Amino acid sequence: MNHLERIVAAIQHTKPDRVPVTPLSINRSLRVLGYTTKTVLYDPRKMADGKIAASEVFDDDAVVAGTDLFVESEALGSKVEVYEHVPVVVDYVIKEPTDLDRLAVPDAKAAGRMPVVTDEIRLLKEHFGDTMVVVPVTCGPLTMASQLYGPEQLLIAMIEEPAWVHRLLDICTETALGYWREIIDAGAHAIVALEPISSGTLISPDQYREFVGPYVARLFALANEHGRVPVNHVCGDTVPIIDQMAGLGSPLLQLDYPISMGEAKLAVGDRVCIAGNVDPVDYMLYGTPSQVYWKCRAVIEEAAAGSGFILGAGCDLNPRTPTENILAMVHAAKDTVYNDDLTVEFIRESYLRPEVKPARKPA
Amino acid sequence: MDERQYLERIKQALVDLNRDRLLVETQAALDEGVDPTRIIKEGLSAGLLLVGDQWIRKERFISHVLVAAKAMGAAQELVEPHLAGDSWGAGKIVLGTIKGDLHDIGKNLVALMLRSGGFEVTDIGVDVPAERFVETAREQDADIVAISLLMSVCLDEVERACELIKGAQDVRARILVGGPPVSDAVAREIGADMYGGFDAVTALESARRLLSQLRAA
Repeated sequence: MNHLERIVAAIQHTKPDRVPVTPLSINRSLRVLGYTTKTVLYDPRKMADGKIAASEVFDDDAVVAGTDLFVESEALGSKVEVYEHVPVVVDYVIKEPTDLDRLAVPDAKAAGRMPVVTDEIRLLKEHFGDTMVVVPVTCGPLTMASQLYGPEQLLIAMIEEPAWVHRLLDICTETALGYWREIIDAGAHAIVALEPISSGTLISPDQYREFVGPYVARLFALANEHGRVPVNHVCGDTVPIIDQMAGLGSPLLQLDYPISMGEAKLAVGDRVCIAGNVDPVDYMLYGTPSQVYWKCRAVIEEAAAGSGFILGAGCDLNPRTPTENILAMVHAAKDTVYNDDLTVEFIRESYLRPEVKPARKPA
Repeated sequence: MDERQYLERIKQALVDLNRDRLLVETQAALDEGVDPTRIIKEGLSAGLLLVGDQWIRKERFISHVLVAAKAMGAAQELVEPHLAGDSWGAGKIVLGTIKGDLHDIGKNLVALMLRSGGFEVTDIGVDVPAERFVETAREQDADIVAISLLMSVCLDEVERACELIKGAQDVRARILVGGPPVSDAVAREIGADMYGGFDAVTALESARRLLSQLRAA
């Protein structure tokens, strides 16, 4: 099986040869060639080269295009500044609610860094063809709105001025749809909608139902129409919303570390595939390879049976994440085999059992 | 009505997130001559801490805390002209997010909780370089420098801030570092005096503990 076939099998709940693995290495991948986000941001060739080089080192099952989730809000007029590893919004385009009247949906063929990412996708597709999943990260509508108005102001407006927030979300969704069309045109196999602001840590399940679900569902429908896989990525605690997430048209949910993958699997059954959810900081950044490896095995044991599972980190890896820890995660996946009844067996123990849990974990 | 009933009504309006009623009740209490310090301490702050507790217990969400905080700010403006001065300062804190980190919700909640707990907070905002923490701590003669961060990539700059603060002879402030990428062990490793916790309610408890350590020393 090639990488693409393996991921497709997981999503379709058929039998992959082994557990698929996507460590969620985005900016971390660029480090393999000594690049930082700042040095490649407008250079699709360097972005693609970094990801290709990382893919050769890590040998995982997907390549993530793009570097961050500020492409859309920047195209809409928020001022973004780029630090070494991550761009950040330093000036919101909406300062007063009436500023919304002046906000226009940008042309995704030309606006800001949108063409840089679509060019990167084309280069990655040229290199990998259909052997590897090429999947860009994009910004979900609610998170985009938070980058236009400020997260705190947005969260307050969701309670005090909901009709206004819906108008804003419409523009964000139209912006995302335009960008997704270009991404589809560039040939991406899957597209991730990153929605950290829709985390159960920040908003309530009722707010998710009102302000997130209907909007991301429009994006997911577009991708499905074109035979691409829309991926629903929500950070933080998703327990209160996981049932809703499973019903929005995305067949793949990326879940973060605070939740139990075993319980998530029970909650979604075979409706959707779940990916995750090793702690990107405590384990991937600060842990030892054997701690990472055995944590991955524990996650696999919780959630891989029945297919519909992809091993990964809970969120984007820190650029300093040790190569050995990423390889330990990939090894954990490579040490498995799926049986015909979709149970999973381990065929090796590539690392000794660690004596202690990562130091950061409370005992 | 006695004072306690007025305070109870203020607290309840805040817990109900009813800004209009909160302003009416606060004004009524002021008109009746209720001690303005008690209005802030036992009415507004007590109400906000209750909303904060409900959030920690997952009965409410951050947006509710933010709406409560905004309402409390408006009510506080009514009360402030009646205050004799900053009368119940528990200690002076300089607070900000470290350079590279612009996530201000957590930091703002920490500021609110610290103020509710009686601390005098100088909020130096987001994306603050290490040097400015030191300078502001020196200017303010602060008891505590509190550094907030959400992103693990920013830990290096926090470590640099800790070094600078410890190295400055004329700065006596203790250092509190909090946020998701930090733990007790990480806080110690990067040179902080105490881990501020994962959330704003814990940050207040940690600041109180650190202050009593400082005063006992």
